[in-house]
Amino acid sequence: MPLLPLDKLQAGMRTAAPVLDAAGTLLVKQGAEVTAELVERLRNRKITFLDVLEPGASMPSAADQAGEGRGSEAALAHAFEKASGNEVMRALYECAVAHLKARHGGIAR
Amino acid sequence: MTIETTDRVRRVVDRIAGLPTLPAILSSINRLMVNPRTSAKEVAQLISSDPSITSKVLRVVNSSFYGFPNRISTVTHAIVILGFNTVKSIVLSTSIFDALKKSGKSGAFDRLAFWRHSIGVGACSRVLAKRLGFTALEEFFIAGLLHDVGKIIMDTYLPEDFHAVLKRVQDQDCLMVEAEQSTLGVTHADLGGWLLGRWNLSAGLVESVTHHHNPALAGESLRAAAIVHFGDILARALLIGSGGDRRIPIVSDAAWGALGIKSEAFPGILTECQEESERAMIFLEFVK
Repeated sequence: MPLLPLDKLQAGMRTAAPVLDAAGTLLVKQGAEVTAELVERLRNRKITFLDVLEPGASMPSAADQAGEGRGSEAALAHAFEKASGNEVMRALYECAVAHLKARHGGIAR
Repeated sequence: MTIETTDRVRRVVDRIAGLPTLPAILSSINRLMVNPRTSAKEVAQLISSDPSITSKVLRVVNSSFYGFPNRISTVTHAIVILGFNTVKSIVLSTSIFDALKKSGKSGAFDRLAFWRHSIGVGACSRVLAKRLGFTALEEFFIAGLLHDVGKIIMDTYLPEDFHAVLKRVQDQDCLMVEAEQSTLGVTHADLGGWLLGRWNLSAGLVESVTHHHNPALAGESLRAAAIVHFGDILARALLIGSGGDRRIPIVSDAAWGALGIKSEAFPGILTECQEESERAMIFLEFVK
């Protein structure tokens, strides 16, 4: 799913992920169709890029998304594997996992 | 850098011809800025003489990275609002992308993931610098943006060596810096610092890039190098892009001491770094 600047968006594309503001308020739901009005609304909110699906691409299912989260969690576990003997790194790992889970739970994206 | 490392870097860079250069406009801006009587209008006139750089500067200053509610339509306006140093840093950042955006030759290095990681480290370094009370935040963004520039030198000018490094990373599942040391005897940090020195960038930038894997060696620039070092770790913990390996470096004791951060602050720092990185991805436009 490409991350595109607003001026490269085309009608018919759909948002690949929900768009939230810095406070976590939902601005655009996942799967919304890209329209001129939507682009204008995002521009007014100073949002410059959008995660989109190409026209015709299928929407990832909730199970796919959960899988993506699990894949990322596995990538984190692997990255930190050799760092587990360090107290700071252990604390960072735990917070990074919590952060990732919150993101895939829809708090921030 | 030790004499031995300097010699090894020299032996490697002697094999490189036609290194990227930065545009002459940057040294002209520096010349103007050392004069305290220089006005915003003079610097703006100089920048505006290059339409490509002007449009990029305006694109960045109007993005959510700076978050101004009203549109900034001239370079003079940008300088008045953001200051000379910030605008100069934006010119430098966009020029760096221009100088380095051509594709690599090793064929196995994901440049887009690399730039995402670099922008992420720039954003995380900026967040850390702000939390630690630094004011020249753009310098930290650029240090993070450039911390791995040595990998681009290898990918572009030493493709066979770099291919061997990537193969070692894959076979041994180690950090890129470890594979470089055992394959080439020099690291991307050594080569990156050397290039920044050639570009006449500040000593603080050169030292923080050269020592981002070992801030204890950064001398007076310890805190700056520690910020980039931990910015790299944070960007990896947030899985932002990829620098080419799948491991995370262990925080150096010297860096952790110099930063003075408490691990209780991690949740807030991670959230702030994530948001700052997403805003900073505006710079990805300039590598495509």
